[in-house]
Amino acid sequence: MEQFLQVVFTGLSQGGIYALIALGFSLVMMATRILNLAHGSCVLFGGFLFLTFAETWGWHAALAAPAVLVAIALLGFATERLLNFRVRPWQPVSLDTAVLTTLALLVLFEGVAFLAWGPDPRRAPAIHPGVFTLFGAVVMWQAVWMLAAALAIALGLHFFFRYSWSGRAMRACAENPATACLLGINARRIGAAAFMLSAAVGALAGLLVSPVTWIDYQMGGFFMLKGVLAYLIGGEEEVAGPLAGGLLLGLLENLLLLFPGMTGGLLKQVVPMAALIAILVFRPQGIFAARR
Amino acid sequence: MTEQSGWALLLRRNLAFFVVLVALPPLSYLLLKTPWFYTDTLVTTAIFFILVMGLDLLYGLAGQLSLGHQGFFAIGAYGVAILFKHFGWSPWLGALCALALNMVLALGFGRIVLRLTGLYFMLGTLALGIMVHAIITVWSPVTGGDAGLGGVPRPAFFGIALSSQTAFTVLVWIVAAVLFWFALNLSRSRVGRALRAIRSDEVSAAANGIDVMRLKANVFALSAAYASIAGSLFAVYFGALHPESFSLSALLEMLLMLFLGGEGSIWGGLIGTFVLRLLPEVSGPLHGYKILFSGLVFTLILFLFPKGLAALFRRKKPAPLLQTEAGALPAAAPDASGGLRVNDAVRSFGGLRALDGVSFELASGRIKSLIGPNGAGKTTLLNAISGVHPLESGRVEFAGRPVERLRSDEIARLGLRRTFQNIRLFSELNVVENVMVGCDKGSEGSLMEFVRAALPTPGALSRERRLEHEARRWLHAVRLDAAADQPVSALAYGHRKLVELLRAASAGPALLLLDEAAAGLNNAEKQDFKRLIRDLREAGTTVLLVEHDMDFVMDISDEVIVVNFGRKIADGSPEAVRGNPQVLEAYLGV
Repeated sequence: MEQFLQVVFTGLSQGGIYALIALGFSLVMMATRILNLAHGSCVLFGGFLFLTFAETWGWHAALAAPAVLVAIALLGFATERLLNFRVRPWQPVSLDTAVLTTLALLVLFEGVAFLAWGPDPRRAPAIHPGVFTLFGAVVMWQAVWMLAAALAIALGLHFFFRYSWSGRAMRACAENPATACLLGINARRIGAAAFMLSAAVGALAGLLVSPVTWIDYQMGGFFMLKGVLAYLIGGEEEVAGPLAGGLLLGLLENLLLLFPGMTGGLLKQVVPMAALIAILVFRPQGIFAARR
Repeated sequence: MTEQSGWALLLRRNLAFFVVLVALPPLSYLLLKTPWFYTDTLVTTAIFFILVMGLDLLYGLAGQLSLGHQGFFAIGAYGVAILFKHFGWSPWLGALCALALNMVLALGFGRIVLRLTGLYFMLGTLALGIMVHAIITVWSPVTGGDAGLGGVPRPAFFGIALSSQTAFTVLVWIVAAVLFWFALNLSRSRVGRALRAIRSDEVSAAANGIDVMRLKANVFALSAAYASIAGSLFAVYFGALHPESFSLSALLEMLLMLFLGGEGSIWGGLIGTFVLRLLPEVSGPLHGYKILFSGLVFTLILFLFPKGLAALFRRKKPAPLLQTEAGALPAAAPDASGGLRVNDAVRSFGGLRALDGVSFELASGRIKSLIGPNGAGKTTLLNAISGVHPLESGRVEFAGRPVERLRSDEIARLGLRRTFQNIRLFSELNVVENVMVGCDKGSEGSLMEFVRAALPTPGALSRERRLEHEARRWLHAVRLDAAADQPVSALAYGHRKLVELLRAASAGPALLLLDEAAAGLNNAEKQDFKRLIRDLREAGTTVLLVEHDMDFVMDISDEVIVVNFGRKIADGSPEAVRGNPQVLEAYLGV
């Protein structure tokens, strides 16, 4: 029982991170119909920059964390500028070009991370060290923060989309960018804002997760995959989908690890991918989304 | 134009290949003198070239971007290593088994994921690649896991010892050259043309009789086969395997090679591979910058040379002479009867009944116009007859058999062709190739067709020549021969409309559906269209056309059918329809 609870807690906190990454994909996808595969690098850079600010330069976490979010948001802005560099507003960037360019950026950022932070796995300081016991299971405070951040951001985004002008404009762009343009919404500015917001949310995931899992320069691709997986499992609901998808993916992976020895490891890797293929074929709108 | 014999064509087209074949022995002698260092680069260049060719067949021709080819590469490599390690099978036998496994996997998996389009196809293949990588990393008793799998020997190849670097280099390059020859033939053949048509527009390709799903599945399997062969050679050359070589970074490296060289050209991959394999050797001390450099090059290539380095070498076609005199229309009598019978056709979109029980008949050899106000269901009816969007209920009988359950490419191969309201030409093909797709009368895309295309016989080549000749005669008949080698985007609107009509007519269809036949044309062009349609009817083609210009309709039609709100309100001779009170009400509201 305790082992089971332990797995559920770990799964939920990891799921929180996946959900945060997936929310980032969802934001950009919604506003611009681009699947930003370089998003994994924002997560990675979030972790590394926090390490530099908080540990190497010795800043206080309360100063370092916002600084990281702002810096990565600027990186997101740069990504958007680059993607739409040659594009006219009435003619969005083609699907192939967007996928390939963001993949190329993923490699480029991997190279930057290698040069800046070296080849070895590293970890940023935890923003809330220590553990506590809950129903006999040991829980890290950092893990609580991971889950709480996911829930808080999801809730915030929900209100943002429902009640703020920019949020509604973003949803309008998702529905029909051309009409949104005609109604006086600056689709490009909305797109850039979505990229920045998405990058900042990704950076938050990175700075929260790196003390627990350690990160190295190659992990951008890993974060990207987990985020895409969670996003597709949840489906194209703007907030509820990625949140549910992330938590479900975290739980599923950790529950599969309950199988003894190698089987668990194998299942953990293979089942989510097989699930992704099944979802793409049978329910491309995601398992939670209502059929359109 | 003189008819050349197929043999001469075969020789001429493959001249470069035969030159290389002759030059190979002296080259391999030179290789003996080169340091080990460079032969290593040469071998890996060839291996990756094979891999990239596979990707190029899939993306450059058919436009399907696979993000999972490192998986097929891994199966090719690990297949050899595992079968040797655990069963003691010879690596060559192992390579064959891995090849078979890969092709079966690709055909089966392809059936599933190729139904997805665009982004979802990429993500499906991405999942496959990651899954294979996960399995070889984790399943350590069989694959060696993170520690890798070693000890694959390099056995003799049909009695030729390969223990020396040189012998192996020569072998790998011979394999690469043969595969290159296959790929190049394929890309220049009718199969290559059909694949490019699919890349341009799948709906329009199917409407021209191309079995889109089957061609895509087969080219996916072929491309997996290339990856498999590359993987097996990789395993035999290095003798030891590590999961690292088949990770996401491996995929990125292949994509970079493909796009650096230039997609769609087959040989562009050679440039890309060579540059990227040679660079690490010459840039020794800068090794730390390798990843950064690849990322930078990849990004820059996509921005500055989206068509890759190969585009720098592309020859400019000479400007053609202007032609003023029109030739005769090479229309031939169709094989089948073009009779059409539609019974109680129903189709709705949400709550709207676009077709609400329409029935009509069209006798073979006649011209019928389908008219009605906007939103009356005219295009829906054409889409239903041609199988683009099937009916919910009702029957469509064409050429004496029910066709309402057939796919649009199957109906097209029975002898039906159509044009689209918003012109749908193949942007990846030039004008004459667009018409050649029509002359070719569709493609079933069987594996046999692929084999025939990869190994062209003199007969196949002269057939291809005949097709081109025929397509040019069609263009000559409408005075478009000067534009034959232009991209279709260079044509004016009226000319594009004309090319689409030729593409449909040159297949010699029994029944021709024209959606908005003359919309947007000026008066002279309308007269041309009228003449063309009449000539086609003279040759035996039945025509059903949608048109808004009443003068055009009344002038050309043998009979007219009027629909409104998904129902037929009149059907008969133009004079009878003109006087029908219901028609007057629908059009004038009186």
